[in-house]
Parts: sequence; structure tokens; C-alpha cells
Amino acid sequence: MKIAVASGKGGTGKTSIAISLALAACSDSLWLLDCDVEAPNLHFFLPTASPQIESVGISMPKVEKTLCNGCDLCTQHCEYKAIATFNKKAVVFPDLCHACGLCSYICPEKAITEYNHPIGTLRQSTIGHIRLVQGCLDIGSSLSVPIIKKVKEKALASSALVIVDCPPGTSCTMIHSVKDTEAVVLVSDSTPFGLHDLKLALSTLKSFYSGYISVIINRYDQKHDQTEAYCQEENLPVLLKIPDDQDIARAYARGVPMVQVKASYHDDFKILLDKLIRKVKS
Amino acid sequence: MTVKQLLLASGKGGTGKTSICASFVSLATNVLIADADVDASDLPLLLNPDYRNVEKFFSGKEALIDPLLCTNCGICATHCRFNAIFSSNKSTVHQVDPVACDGCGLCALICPEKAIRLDERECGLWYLSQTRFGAMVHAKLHPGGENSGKLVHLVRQKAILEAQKNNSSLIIIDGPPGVACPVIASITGCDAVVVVAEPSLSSQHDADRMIKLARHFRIPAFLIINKWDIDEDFSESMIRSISNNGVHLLGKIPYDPAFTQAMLQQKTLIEYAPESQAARAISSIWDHLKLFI
Repeated sequence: MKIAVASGKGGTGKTSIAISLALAACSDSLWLLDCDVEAPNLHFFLPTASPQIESVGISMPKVEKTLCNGCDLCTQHCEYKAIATFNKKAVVFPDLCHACGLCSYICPEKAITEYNHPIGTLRQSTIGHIRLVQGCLDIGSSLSVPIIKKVKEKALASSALVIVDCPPGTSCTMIHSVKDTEAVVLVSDSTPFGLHDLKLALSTLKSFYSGYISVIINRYDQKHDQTEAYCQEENLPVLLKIPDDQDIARAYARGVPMVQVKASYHDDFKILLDKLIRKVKS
Repeated sequence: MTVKQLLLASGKGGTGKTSICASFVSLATNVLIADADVDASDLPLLLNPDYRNVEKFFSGKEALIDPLLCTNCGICATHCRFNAIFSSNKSTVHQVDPVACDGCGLCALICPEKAIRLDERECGLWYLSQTRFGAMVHAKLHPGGENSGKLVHLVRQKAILEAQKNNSSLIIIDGPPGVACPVIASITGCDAVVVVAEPSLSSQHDADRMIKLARHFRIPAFLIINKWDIDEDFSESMIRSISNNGVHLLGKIPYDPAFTQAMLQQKTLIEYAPESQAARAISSIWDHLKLFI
């Protein structure tokens, strides 16, 4: 079973909640996937001495100048304007390329070949019952989605529990992280920003997602909260409300997950995980 | 007059970019506001804009298979690098997964039946609005929209045009989280980046990545520590470590629940609680920042 932890707004506590879910499932072995490849942070909560590191690349076209006759077909067909013809020779702009393979396919002179162009890394480690896979985008590289796909591939065939820590937002990176999971937990808070971005995330999910959607309200502030009322209107189950506890914030800052702050939080997450598994199975 | 551009960024989301950005906007004069967080645009919640102009944003394409022409040969699916074309026993023809489709057009090119065409994709809306502090350009990516980087680029181009029209001397840009395409589209051509961090391992790590990105594009980066008093020792060690990388500390802002109170009133902190310690910290940071831009 695959559970994604997502949110529209950043900083609502996705990573904290993903790690707490993983730790609460104390006996079974599981996968924890860090798909926030632009700002991967799960390793702070699960320090490991030596993760196994592999490079992630995309197939970047390369023009063999002696074969290129400047026919311009590649330039005319590239939807990303990532290849252009100057002085009768095609030139690739790697920053714009999406590695679709069209130019190498279409070139009548077979002048375009492909090479592996690194855009980031995968870090893998096993800590107790948790198999952690983190994607990390290289600085200056713009394509997050190919790394997210690689992270998810690692646990694709697994029948174990998979918990996916998603990037914030509602664009392609969030969608590819959430895709093919059976449940999404949307993490919001009691602020107007949190509520606004929860609505955006929900409308994004409604456009393509068929799994079970639920909400966690983090830093719950009963006096000002409007998020819970909104969830009721939308028939969105709120599975957990986490209080605005300075002890959690201080522990988080130093890499201590909230389930280790108080035993009651550990129990809350255990119940939450059981609920999620039951809901998905029913 | 040349227009200066100032970006607020953080790497990690939720460190307080938008609240601080709105406060800067209320302290600045002759400013133009741009919200580059196009998939979770929150600045309008504080600035309450009067929407003057709305336009659609088209970018990229999407493959469409004509079921009358498709012979289900599957050549498109074998060549698609994005695994966006699939067959199922529910249909006698191949189908496109719009979420996975990148709009490259390879399938349309190789289809022997010419059964695939590419359609323009409407990815969002962009707005030119008026706020009590000046004009604002902002946008909203459609649910799951592609090409947020291009929408950010559009917002910034429109902001520059509008700033020139209004004789604004400064554009303040509220940036998206992360370091990939929408952030790269936000940072290029800026005069300075203010990185908003909070005292935590995660935020420090992500702020470091943001500072590296700024350096990659040769843009001067400045640091603000928000909620610094949540962990004073941690804040001090962060400041030491980041300053060692040549990044100038603009100041520290204390944790203040008034940020949320202000948000509920649709006000900036400077308007809601001008005498609060946090508001005074932001004002002095702003005075400090003005010297550099």
C-alpha cells in the first residue's frame, strides 16, 4: 500500500508527518520515499552513516558536427526550443531539453546521439525497519520530475508499505509524487494560507486522483481555525489534529521527530496509520 | 529608469516568505509587486487586490489520439519517453495520460495513421491587479498545470512592463519554494535575493541550496532568520555557518503570533501591529536592505 503525504503550502509539516508515520509502523519493514527532491530533508530525522549514492541522469542529445548538414528538421520540431541551427549546424541547449528523444529520432543523417546527463542523485539507506530513498536535484538543474520518477521506481514492485513525502505546491512535481498511491494525506494548518493552499491541493487531486483523500491539521489553533469547518463542508475526513506545541517545533528543528517527543504522539500516529490502512482496504 | 528586482526565496516552504514580502511591500515606496508562487499564490490573501485584468496562459501542448483513426498499433507507446501512452482492455485504441504527457510531439510525428494531434494546453491565468500599495502582477496555475516556470517568466515580464509604465523603481517578487524551474525562472535577472530561513536543520540545508543557486546565477544573496528566538543557539550557529559563505545577514525576526492575526485581518504585520517587535525588526531589515538596492 502506498500513502502520499502532500500539501499545497510549504512548511505545514509533511516531512515531520511522513517520518512519524514511518516510525509508528514499528514492526513492519517499509519504504520511505523523499520526493521533495528540491529540498530533501528526511535524512535529518533518520541519520545514517553511509547512504548508497547513485547518479540520476537524463538522455541528452549530442550533435555529431561532421554528420549534421544543417537541415533544421530538429529545430523545427523541438517543442522546447532546446535545439537550434546556427551556421548550418544544430546546437543543443541542455537547460531547456526535456529528453524526449524527438530530435535523435527525426534526424535523417543520424547525426544526433544521446548521452547520460546527470541532474541529481539518489541516496538509499536502511535504518531499522525503514528503507529510505531520497532524491536530490543538482543545484542549477531545473528538471525535478525525472528524479521523482526514479525515487518512486525503487519501490514500484514492492508489496510493503510505501510512504511518500511530496514536494509542496500543486504543479507537476506534486502530481508525479502522488500518482499511483492509494491514499493521500493532505497536511494543512489553522492559518488562512494553509486553508487556501489546501483548497488548491484538493482541486488538483480532484482533477486526476482516485485514491482516498484525508487531512491532518497541524499546529491546530482551535480559536482561529477555519480549516476543520471547510473539511466538514467538503466531506473530507480530518484524521488527526496536532496541537501547536513548541516542544514539537524545537525537536523538529534539531531533527527529532514528534513521535519521539511524547509517547501519546506515537500512539496517535499508530492509530492514524491503522485508520488509513483500513480505509484503503475497504 | 532602471527597475531593480528583489526576490524573496527560501528553498524550504513555510519559512515566512510571503508574510515578510507583504511587510516589505507596505514599507516600500513606488513599488511593483509580483507573486511568483504561481501554484500556491498567497500574497493576494494579505494584499486583497482589485483584479483589473485577467488573461489566459497557454503553454506547452498535449497529445490527443483520434479513436477513429487509431489502429492500436502501439508504436507511439513504445517511443514515448514519458510513459504517457497506454492501452487498456477498456478501450480498443491507445490513450494518452494527460498528467504524464509532456507535449513533445514525438508520438504525433511517428504515428503511421496520423491519428495523433497536439493541442495547445491552457495552463493557468495571470492577473494585473491594484493593491493599496501599488500594482501587482500575479498568476494562478490550473490544477496540475504544467510549465509553472514559464508562467513565472510571464509574470516577471509583465511586472517589468508595468513597472516601466508606472515609473516604479523596484519590483518585489514573492518566490516559490524549491530550487528548480519555477525558482530559476524567478531568480534570473534579479538584483538581489533575500533568503528567509528559520532555525532548523531542514531550513538551514534548504537555505544553503538556495544560496548556492543564487551564486550559480551570480546574484547577491542576503539572509533573514525568521522566528530566530525559537532556538537562539541554533540561530547563532546558522548565522555563523551561512555568513562564512559570504552571505550578509540582514537581521533576525522574533516568533510572533501577530503574523497569523494579521493574516486573518488580511493585513501586513506592519499595518496590523506596527509596534510589535517583529514589525520593528522587519522595518530595520528593510532600512538595511535599501542600502544595498
